Amino acid sequence: MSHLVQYGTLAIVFLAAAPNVNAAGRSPQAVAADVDALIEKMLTENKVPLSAKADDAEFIRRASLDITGRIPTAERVSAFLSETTPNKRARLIDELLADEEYGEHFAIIWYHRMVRIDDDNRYTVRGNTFAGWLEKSFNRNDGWNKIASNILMAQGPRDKNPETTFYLANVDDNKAGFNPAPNKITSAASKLFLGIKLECCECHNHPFNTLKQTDYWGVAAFFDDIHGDNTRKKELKDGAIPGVHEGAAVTKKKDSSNAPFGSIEIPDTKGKTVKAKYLLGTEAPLANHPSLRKLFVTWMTSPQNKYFSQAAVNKMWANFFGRGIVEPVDDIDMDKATHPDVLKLLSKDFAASGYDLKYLIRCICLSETYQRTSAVLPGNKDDEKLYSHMRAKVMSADMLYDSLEVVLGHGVGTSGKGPDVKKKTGGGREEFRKFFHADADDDVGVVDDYTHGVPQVLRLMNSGAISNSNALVTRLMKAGEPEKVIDSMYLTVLSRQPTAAEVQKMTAYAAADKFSTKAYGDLVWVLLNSGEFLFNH
Amino acid sequence: MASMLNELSRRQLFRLAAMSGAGAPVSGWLNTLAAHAADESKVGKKKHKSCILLFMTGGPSHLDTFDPKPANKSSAFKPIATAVNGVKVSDLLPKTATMMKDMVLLRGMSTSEGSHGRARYYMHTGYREGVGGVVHPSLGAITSHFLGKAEDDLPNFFSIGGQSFGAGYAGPMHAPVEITNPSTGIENLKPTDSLNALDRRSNLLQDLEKGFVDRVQTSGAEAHKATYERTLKLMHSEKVKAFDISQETAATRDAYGRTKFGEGCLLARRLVETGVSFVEVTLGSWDTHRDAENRLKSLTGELDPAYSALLKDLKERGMLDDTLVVWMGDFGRTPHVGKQGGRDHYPRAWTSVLAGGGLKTGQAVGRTNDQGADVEEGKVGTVDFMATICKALGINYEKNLYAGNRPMRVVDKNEKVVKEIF
Repeated sequence: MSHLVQYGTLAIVFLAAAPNVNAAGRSPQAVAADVDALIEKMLTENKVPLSAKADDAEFIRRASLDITGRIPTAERVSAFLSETTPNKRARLIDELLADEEYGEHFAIIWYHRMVRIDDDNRYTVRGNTFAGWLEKSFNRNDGWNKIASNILMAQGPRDKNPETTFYLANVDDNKAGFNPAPNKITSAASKLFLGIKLECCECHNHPFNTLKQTDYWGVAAFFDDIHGDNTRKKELKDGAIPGVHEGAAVTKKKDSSNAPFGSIEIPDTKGKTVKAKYLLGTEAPLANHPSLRKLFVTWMTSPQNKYFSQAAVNKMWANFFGRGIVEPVDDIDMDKATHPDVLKLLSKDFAASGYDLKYLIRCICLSETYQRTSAVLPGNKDDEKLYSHMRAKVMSADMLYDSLEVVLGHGVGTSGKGPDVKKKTGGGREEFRKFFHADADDDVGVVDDYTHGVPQVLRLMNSGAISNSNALVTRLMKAGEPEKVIDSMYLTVLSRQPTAAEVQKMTAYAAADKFSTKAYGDLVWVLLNSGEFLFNH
Repeated sequence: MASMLNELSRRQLFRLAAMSGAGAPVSGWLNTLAAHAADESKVGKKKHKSCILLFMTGGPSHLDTFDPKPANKSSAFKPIATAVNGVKVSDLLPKTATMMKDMVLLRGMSTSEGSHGRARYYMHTGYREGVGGVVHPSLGAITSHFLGKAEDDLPNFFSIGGQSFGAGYAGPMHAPVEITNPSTGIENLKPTDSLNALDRRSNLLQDLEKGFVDRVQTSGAEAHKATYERTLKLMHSEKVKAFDISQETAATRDAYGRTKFGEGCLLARRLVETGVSFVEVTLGSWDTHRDAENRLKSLTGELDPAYSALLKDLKERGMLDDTLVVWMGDFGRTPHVGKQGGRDHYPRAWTSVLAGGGLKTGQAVGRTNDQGADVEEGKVGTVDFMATICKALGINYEKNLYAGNRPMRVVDKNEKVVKEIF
């Protein structure tokens, strides 16, 4: 509110960009300020100095990558750098969130988390349009509880109900066709929506915590009544559209089981059964044969269920900071949280916002913690967990693909359409992702380590596609003087202006080759192969 | 305490990698490369074992290759004698039969995974997919880790004609370098213009890069710098000649066979000769649910000359004792004819083959029943198999690698090494 007083004449402009408050009356700015206070308190206690705020160039590149999955264009950077409105960063965040590439970016991330190809689901997910459905959900800003609920309650044929793809990605092959497998669904759902890695407990009690095999199968029992339609291999190969439904199996029951309704038999235990049971909670009420999965979804998305919002917050935090407040991201153990108070605070406000994802992103991106530079100080260079500075992150394979396309004006993959998200279905994306090891990261959804080896670097350095910068160079050279060309080149590739020393070095290099197209092409090569380009910092 | 040490050691690893080969501060990458070339000539031949893994993707029928069963009427192929008295193989492998003195048949393989993806993962890593929620390192990555050195010019794990499996928690330095086509070598190895032009560019790159690593100081940034240095070293190395199989005589190339697999085996020999510790060559697909007879003839038509030529070549060059050659697939195939007229997946009993490596070769260990359906003697599970290979290579399989903070034994517990071959 004080902003309205301070910037009187700009009030109308500011209001137009004013983000929403949640049900508790908390604005993202207020939440961000609280997060900052907690972070800074711990830094002070540990006597770790804070790095300075990131400058505008650093900020726009980072925010564009984190929210829309690619670097900004030179034009956008230029305009942003010369803007003088005081709240321009907040407005940039809004602009990025309103861009449909926001939805595409997160759709691709979640699609790959949810659809992991194995021997059994290759046929049931082929040709799915799930990523497009996710994109629409994100761009409409559906609440995360609604999205999760839509996915877990999905039914019908896959073409009309793309969200059934989640179930169709977690199937087992049995004589009646491919069928949603309670164990696969349980492992996936608990990891993705609850931030609990239950999969160890499928076969035995968890080695590191108190979860038991019966906890696992208690959850699996909620998913034991979901069946595939048109999922025989032959039907699928002939082009049938698969689907799922809950309730009486249309085809013969897959295997004989002793389990009554609402219970499930644990494999390899000579008939031991477990009743549907909320995780670390009570048994589910089974009167009147309700939809089992609906019981689970209601429990999962209820305001009392802290796992649901915590899991979402932890993953979102990891997206922006390169690590979760708890690591590993998918297995939340509060004892391992670096800042348990921050996780609790954000989870509470996120839930109170109606699980509004854009709200959550604003809470994060408006914070000083997020906006700190990635430049270390001697006193904080070893800090990896306290957020004294922003740790430089490796660009994900998708980010690299899209950013190279922004720079070069053409795609650099060789084959394979991506999941069906409009702009990002460009030819060659799949091959590129695989080559740059995206599969390993998809499970967690956060690029953790530098995984590039010799083949990846050889490709970046020597491949025809990435070395082909003719279109770019031709355009840049229109600026005329070398200084202007180089300035424009830096804005395009590194999203910032060059320093005087850089201009001098680059000019000298180009001069030695008479400022030819080849010389400028070399300069583009240098910038594209630099750590500064490859990292998100 | 232990966890802190492990976390430190990963960052240190990258720092060390970045500094490797440079006793003095790096004044220029090219100067480092020159200094390194001088060092290399002083260092003698490395004394470590190497491994060539011939992976038969799809799962080859054991009955129709290395475990023929005359009592089983379903086989279209007959057993033939080999160079070892009493050991017979299918008549599809006549040339390989002559090299039996240098081979050990493990006929008691019994590995319990019958789906391709899971079986391949299990056979490559010794762990079941998904266990512990981590990605386990492939045998190639393990070998690269224990037998390779960071300052080697060439990476230590190559995969020819197939993908193999990655390095998982062994780290990116041990990821396989994939060569799709052995006659064309490593993709993108040559610059788009010339090595001189590349050097000009990379000098400028290095000059401008200094600032970034100092600015952000992450292990990732250091790893990036280290990988670039390593790649440039590779591009300048004399050792890249190893990738050029056209340097072999026509006679040699004909002996291996002018097929993708034959040339892959030849390339493998060249790489091992240069000091690479692990090369995997893939041949497939052996997944003969249908049309088994024709496909087997075609596949063994590629396998037989290449496999025998490889062993003979290694022997003649005095390399066989230091090179372990492993032949394996996803699993075996059903002793009875399947629904589609061929044979289906069968992990319960099958055959793998080890050769060279200084082992007690010239024998068959383990035995299946007269139908080739069950192991009667000498059962070898996947973990046993992995331990045996590690022992043959001189790798201590009881050691731990680390997945984050979590210790993971190189080979899973309760292993039983095949004693008869040592």
